[in-house]
Amino acid sequence: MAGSILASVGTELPRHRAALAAAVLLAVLCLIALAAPALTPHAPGTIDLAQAGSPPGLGAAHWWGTDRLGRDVFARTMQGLRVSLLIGFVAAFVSVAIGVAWGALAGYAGGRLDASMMRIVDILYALPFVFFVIILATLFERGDVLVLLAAIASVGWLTTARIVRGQTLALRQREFIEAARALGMPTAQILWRHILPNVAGPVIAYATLTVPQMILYESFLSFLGLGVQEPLASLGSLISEGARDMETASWLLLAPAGCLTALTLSLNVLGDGLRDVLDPRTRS
Amino acid sequence: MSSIPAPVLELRDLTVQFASREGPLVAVAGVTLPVRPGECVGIVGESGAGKSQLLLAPFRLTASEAQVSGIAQLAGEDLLALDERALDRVRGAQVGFVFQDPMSSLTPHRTIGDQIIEVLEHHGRARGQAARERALALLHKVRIDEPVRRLGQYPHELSGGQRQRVLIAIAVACDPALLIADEPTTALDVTVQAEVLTLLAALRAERSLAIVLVSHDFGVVSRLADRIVVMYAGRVVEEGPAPAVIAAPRHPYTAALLDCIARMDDSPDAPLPPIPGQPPEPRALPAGCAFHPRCSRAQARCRSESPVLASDGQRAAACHFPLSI
Repeated sequence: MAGSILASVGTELPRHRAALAAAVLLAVLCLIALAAPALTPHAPGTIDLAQAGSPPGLGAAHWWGTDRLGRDVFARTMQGLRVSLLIGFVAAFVSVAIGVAWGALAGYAGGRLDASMMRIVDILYALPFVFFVIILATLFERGDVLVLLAAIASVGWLTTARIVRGQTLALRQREFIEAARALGMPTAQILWRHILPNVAGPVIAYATLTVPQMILYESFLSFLGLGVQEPLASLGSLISEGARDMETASWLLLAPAGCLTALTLSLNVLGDGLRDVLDPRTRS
Repeated sequence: MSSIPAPVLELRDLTVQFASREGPLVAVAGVTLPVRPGECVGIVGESGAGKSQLLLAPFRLTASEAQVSGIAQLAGEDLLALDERALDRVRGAQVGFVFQDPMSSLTPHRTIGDQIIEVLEHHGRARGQAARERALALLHKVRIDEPVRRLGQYPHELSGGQRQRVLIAIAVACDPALLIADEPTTALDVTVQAEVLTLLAALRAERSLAIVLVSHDFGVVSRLADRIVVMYAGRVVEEGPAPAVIAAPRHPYTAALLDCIARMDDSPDAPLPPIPGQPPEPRALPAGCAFHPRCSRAQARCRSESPVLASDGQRAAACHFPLSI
């Protein structure tokens, strides 16, 4: 199943121009973020007060300038990008995995199990997200990336669960599920091979849209000071920092904000394209 | 003297009930039906007569939970005693099913080849390349055009007739002894119907496959069936060899159903006589013979006394005043 989905993405995506451009942009961003330590001689944490607040320039020692403590903005931004990418992808993966399993089980089982599972989702939905994260952050060490991931993922799976449950509920009534039962397929196999491939399209598309959402959640938390802590940086914490000096040193805001915009834009366009590509009925 | 071969499917005094708020709903009331190897039995009746429930319930394929009592044996194995896992090994392997709607009986997001191979692998008949070759051979067997290309295609790329061929290929993939075809041609064009029936006849001749053909259409059943069973309100009202039943029906209901078919020698202006009234509500069956309110020959006895299915060895009819004897 995974193989055929990858194969169809491989053959169909290049035809979708916007999605292809987005995929390339995303790949370039990821590559630069990973290769950054080799691209610049400056470490993200090195403080050089003599160079503090120097503006960006092509010939300058610091391409994207330095912050108030003289740290290299390029190195800091790339480190923030790495942290944001990590949190975004891992949180999206975890929340989609939980959401799909939860939603498919509830939708296929139906009845009381479905009702109680979805009530849990409703209750979690009703909890204020920020409040929830503040509790987690006070219970555990503030700024721990794992706690942050857990907090974000614990809220992120709810929408996926609802989408998958709704789709499964509709699919369960379809003749091909009855036909699969008539062929002697056990429930687990029906879920895995007849329900999941049919929800995979919308789910993968939604997952791609979840990544920027998770990154934005993280940025929001970091902006409030609940996210990653110094000396570690994420795009959110860098934007928060940069916003303080935006009148005197605009590059401190522009660098992380530009990266965040490019990242979310590329993921959103890619998600949109994948939704088209993964539905065999829309293919020519 | 040659002994009669043991039936592939043996249903004896089978009753299917559904629980509901207004009390139990009896869909099938004590039907006995043996299906012998290589035989084609046609089951005819209006919607709601219990035709599908009779054949789906023993395999636990009804939409809601049914209570099944009586005897249901497949090749001597008691179906009603099997648990869900054991039944999974029977369905698709020892018995194949073909349903009414070929447009929606295939999973839309997976290729045809993938879906045939899945059945072969699931029942341990072949894997990998061997399974692919078997799938291709099956598509050849059901006479689909361009079978190699079809393997890689998705269901929506095929026409209704082609999809029904694929579904038949899947149903016979594991060489079952029995094929249950529930209204297999109802959703198809008339010309495609004829092709599908020809295909079923060919498969039957080739692998001595027993077929139970469920249909509301006498025309479809008469093309394939050796034996015809007519059901009304959950009971068998007439059964016998197909040519005899069609030529000289004994039960007035069978006669009325046959009268609804247009014949080539009918005048094109002559209206077809419909059967007056509606099939009875399963919860409010009329007293006596269930068909009496719609029967032109009904008499006082029909209103009070329920007729039994009287057999003369060849044919049977449940009527106090049978026709043409």
